[in-house]
Amino acid sequence: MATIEKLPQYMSEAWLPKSNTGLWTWFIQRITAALLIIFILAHFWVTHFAVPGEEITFRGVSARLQSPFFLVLDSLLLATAIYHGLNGVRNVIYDFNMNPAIKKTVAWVLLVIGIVTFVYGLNALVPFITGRPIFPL
Amino acid sequence: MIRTAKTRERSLNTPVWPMNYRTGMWAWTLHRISGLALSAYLIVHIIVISSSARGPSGVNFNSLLATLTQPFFLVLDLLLWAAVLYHTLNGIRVLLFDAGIGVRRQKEIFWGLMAIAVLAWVGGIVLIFPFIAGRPPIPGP
Repeated sequence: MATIEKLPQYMSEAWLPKSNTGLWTWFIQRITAALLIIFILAHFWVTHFAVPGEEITFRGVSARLQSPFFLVLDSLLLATAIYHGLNGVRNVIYDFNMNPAIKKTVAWVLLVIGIVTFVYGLNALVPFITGRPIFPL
Repeated sequence: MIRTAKTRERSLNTPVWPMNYRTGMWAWTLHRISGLALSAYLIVHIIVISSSARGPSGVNFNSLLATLTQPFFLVLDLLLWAAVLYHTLNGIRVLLFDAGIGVRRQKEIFWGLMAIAVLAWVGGIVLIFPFIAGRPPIPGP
């Protein structure tokens, strides 16, 4: 194997993006990735294959969602998917060289989108158990 | 691709330049593209399904489902299935590497996982095609 005498330009400090997306977010990204394999498989199975030949109707879906088990499972899926998806978008954006202030703004905007989407989704799940949404929307 | 001393000296001849991408770099790029697409789908999916599920009658949900089972959306579902399969299976590869497993066999692992992805995608086509063609749902066992 040849030894590298001089680093090529694309490996120089100026070319490499400052990837300071954080160690914990990296770790949680891996954990949610592993969880999502199970959750999405379960989601897919339950919605399309659990009852063969069954058409998806509101009646069928609400019967299922009245069990707390599915409320918990769907809430977990909601949270892990949103985290994994939006943190992934953040990772992609952070790999571009840009003003750190813009990066920070992007992270905050994604956090707000994530929280709003999570609450919105949860607000649709809760009425199947409690009979009324957390807030009307 | 033949790499001569001359092409190596050209400034564009870097792994950063898509013309010079090899297996691992394409895998990484496609992982990001499919990830962005899936994130966009995820947010739309949550908002659309949640909005339709309000009220006890379920009229909105059922009419939404009637729209989403039209052939146009079923073809889009096949694209979604492709993105999910690619991102999941290549994601398993990424998780393995982060655990220190199989880095030296990355190419073989990539193509092995892609073979699984193609099989599962063709399986998806077989299952969805009768609905695209407008035939009534196949009754289950």
